[in-house]
Amino acid sequence: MKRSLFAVVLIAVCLLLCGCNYSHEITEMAFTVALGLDKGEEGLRVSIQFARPLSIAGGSSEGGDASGGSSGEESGEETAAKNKNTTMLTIEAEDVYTALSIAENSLSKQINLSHTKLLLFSAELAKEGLGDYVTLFMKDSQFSPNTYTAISLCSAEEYIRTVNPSLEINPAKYYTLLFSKNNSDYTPATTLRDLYFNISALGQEPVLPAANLSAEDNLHTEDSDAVRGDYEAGDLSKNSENRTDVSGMAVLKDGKLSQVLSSHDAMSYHILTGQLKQVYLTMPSHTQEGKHITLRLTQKKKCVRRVESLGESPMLTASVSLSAEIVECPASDLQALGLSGLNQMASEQIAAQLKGFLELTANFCQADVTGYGKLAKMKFADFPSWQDYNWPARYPSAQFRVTAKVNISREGLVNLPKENNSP
Amino acid sequence: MGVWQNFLDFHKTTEGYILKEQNNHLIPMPDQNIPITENIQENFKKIKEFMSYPDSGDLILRWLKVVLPDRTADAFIFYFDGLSNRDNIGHFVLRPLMQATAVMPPKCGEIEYISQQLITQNDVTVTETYEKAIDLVCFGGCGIFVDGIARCYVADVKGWEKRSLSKPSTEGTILGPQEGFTELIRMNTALIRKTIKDPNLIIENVQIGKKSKTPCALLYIKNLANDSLIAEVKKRMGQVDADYIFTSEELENFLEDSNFRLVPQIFATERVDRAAMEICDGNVVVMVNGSPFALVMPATFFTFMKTPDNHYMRLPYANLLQIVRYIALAVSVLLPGFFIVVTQYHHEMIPTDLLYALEASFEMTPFPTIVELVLLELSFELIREAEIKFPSIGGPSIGIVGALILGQAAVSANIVSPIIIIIVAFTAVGSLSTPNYNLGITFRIMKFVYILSSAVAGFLGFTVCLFLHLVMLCTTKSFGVRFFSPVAPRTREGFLKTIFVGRDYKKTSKPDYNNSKQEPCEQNREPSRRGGGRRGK
Repeated sequence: MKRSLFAVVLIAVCLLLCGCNYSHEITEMAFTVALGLDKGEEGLRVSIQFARPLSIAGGSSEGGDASGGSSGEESGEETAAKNKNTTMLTIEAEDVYTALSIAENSLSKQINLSHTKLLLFSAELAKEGLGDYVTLFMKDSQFSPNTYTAISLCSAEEYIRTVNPSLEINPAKYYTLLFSKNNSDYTPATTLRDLYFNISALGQEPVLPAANLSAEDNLHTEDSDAVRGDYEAGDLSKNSENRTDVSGMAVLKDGKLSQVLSSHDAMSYHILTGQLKQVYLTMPSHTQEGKHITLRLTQKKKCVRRVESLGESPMLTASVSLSAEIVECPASDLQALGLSGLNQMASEQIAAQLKGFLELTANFCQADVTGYGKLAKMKFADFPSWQDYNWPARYPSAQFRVTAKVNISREGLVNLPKENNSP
Repeated sequence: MGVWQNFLDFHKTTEGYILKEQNNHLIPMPDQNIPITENIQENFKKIKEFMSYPDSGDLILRWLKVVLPDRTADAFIFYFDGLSNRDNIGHFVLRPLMQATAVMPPKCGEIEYISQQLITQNDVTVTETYEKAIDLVCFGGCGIFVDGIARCYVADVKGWEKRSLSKPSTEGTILGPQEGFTELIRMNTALIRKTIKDPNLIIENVQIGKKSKTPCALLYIKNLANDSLIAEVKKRMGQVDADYIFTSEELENFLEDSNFRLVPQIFATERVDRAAMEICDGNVVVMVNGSPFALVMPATFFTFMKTPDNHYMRLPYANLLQIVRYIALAVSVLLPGFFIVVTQYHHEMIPTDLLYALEASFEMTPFPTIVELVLLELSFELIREAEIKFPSIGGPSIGIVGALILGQAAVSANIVSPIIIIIVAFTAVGSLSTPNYNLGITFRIMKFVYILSSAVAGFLGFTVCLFLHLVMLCTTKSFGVRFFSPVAPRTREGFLKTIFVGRDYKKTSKPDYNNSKQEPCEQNREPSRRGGGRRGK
């Protein structure tokens, strides 16, 4: 009896403590899908994209209007998204949360950020520093640390407004698939958590995927690098109704945008950090002009990186082992070079590319994006001595030695030229 | 206070008045020690008085002349029509008594001559008191009084209509035996005796109910069941203070440790094989005449979750079903509460795609989610209750009404969300998949508690409720055995062996939570390496 009484009292106390004040129906909420931050004329320009569940679920062909039909005045501006499954609101205010509270005045529902899939910073804003914003969002319990982040080379508002997914109905799924990049190694996938940790840490600088808008018909680009697949966001040679483009990566230094690198650099980044899934390596043929050798590369072993020595110029090494399959190779090349020759040629190209990437980020961006600093930190007895060493200042003068080993497991069926087949 | 006292006084007065009035017309029951007299007229008068003749329309009283070696004596028989077999009475009672073809051996008295020579019925009891004779006649016997003999002969000529053996209605299996108990206790005990051909199987007869004197049986294996357990069951059965008990369910209320605990503490089964298995595991089974359910004690949570399928199916499938059963139980009790938690408080826990689907489905409904859920759960409880009451007549109609009105029309009319229908349907399927009906009811009640606590305090309320629920379950005892034995407290059997179906067909060991007397070879067996020695009590 006493136990029962105790249980009843305990439950009653819990009820008194909590109440149901924080209870909200789902239909009372406006769930954001993407949040874009631009530098405004006087303050911050916040673009909020909301999902329209009724349209997404097929409940209404037109969809509801979460904004309640009102439009922003003075600093607020409501925009109608092209996509009927989303609606968009842009507010200019002093900071993010002021903008959100202003936005709530013009909305019939309460803004909920817990399902935000994309946090997009404009390059202009990123150049001034993202540290404060990232810390702010990480502290907010509504924001998921798994929210994807990106840098928009154009205006974030314009990018979000232009997004027009043609393969998905659900915008949240579109952003998740696009920025998680499970199927591409030409851009990194960076969540809010990664960004926060790398901005705060001394041993590694963050990188973010670069997003941009391409011209409506960019198929006949004159950029020869872009044709070879080495392009930056917005330069992609394509003709698509969706003008948004995510490729390459933006490098941050001390929380500020340092450089925007190409898609091949992003590939090198993936190889060095051991995240490579599958890429195609194209090399010119040795025997036939105009022909190519194409290999499909996968990474089954993680890249072994070491800090060989510390001093004025740290000596850093990277050893990469990649598996390859021949996708396209003229038989004459295979005859002339053999598998070992092909392996050597591919290894040299990969090693040169990786070394170039490391030197580019060290000398040009002055940012340790691959995390050698974390390895160097382990060579110090305590944290103060690591701080005294001042890794960010030493890293740009680092020396790199990269070895790559490409292993073509099999050559497959080779169709030899006819003259070689005759006895 | 005054009003309350008046109320009590009124009831006391009224009750007393009624009893007094009734006592004037009360049929005097025979005291335990009223001896039968030699005077046949006196005996006839007493029997008529005790058995309310001729008010009892089914009582048959018949005079006859019994031919004895040296005299012809008046006699009468009495029995209940429909309760006794008329043919048996004619062939094995009346004919031998009236024709008296047997020769009386020397040195044999009339009393023994009648019982040993004349009455050819196979079971005859000779009593000296009216009470005993009436008890036996009320249970299908035929009483015989002979003038000049201060005894009553009762021939066991039971012959009432009974249900034949049928499949268990609540514990069906695909494989294995399909025998279920019936309402006749002797047939039930015979089924157990037929299954367990062990001379150590004890079937003790006990009578329950001061006036109903319902025959009950206590079944256990003498050299296996714990003596303390047997003594405790006997003690509790002896303490039953009720005039009438007709079913095992009524008796269960008297035997269980606490009536206020939500979970049942005695396992009721109508399967012969299941009852036999429990007896062979060292448990005690009680059967009540008139009830097709045998009571197994002690019972733990895992007793309720076990089904005979575990023994009849191949191990992989048996284990799969076992896991599914536990998931179904968790779904039946936790899913509605958890749904309220995530839709009211923790929207971030819902996958985004599902969130949009939920929002779209709730957009047009007028009620809050909690109201929708509780209304639909209550509606389903109503449908289930109605279907149980009229399974054959109204079952299909109720099913159609429930499916169409609650399922389709309510959604079309935007009264409830289709998601809520799915949640309630999942919960219902989970509840129906629970192996034991009593346990299923318990968790159905708890489901509403979870919904309420989740609606009030979100995840905190849900977890507090879960914690208290587990505490309540862990502290429940059944005849001294903890409800979660042998997991909490952990015994030699351990968690995995209890949850999953092992190679039970080898019968290498018996459960140790009931401290049964293991077979000699089991006592010599070394305890397992992990946690041997701790025994739940």
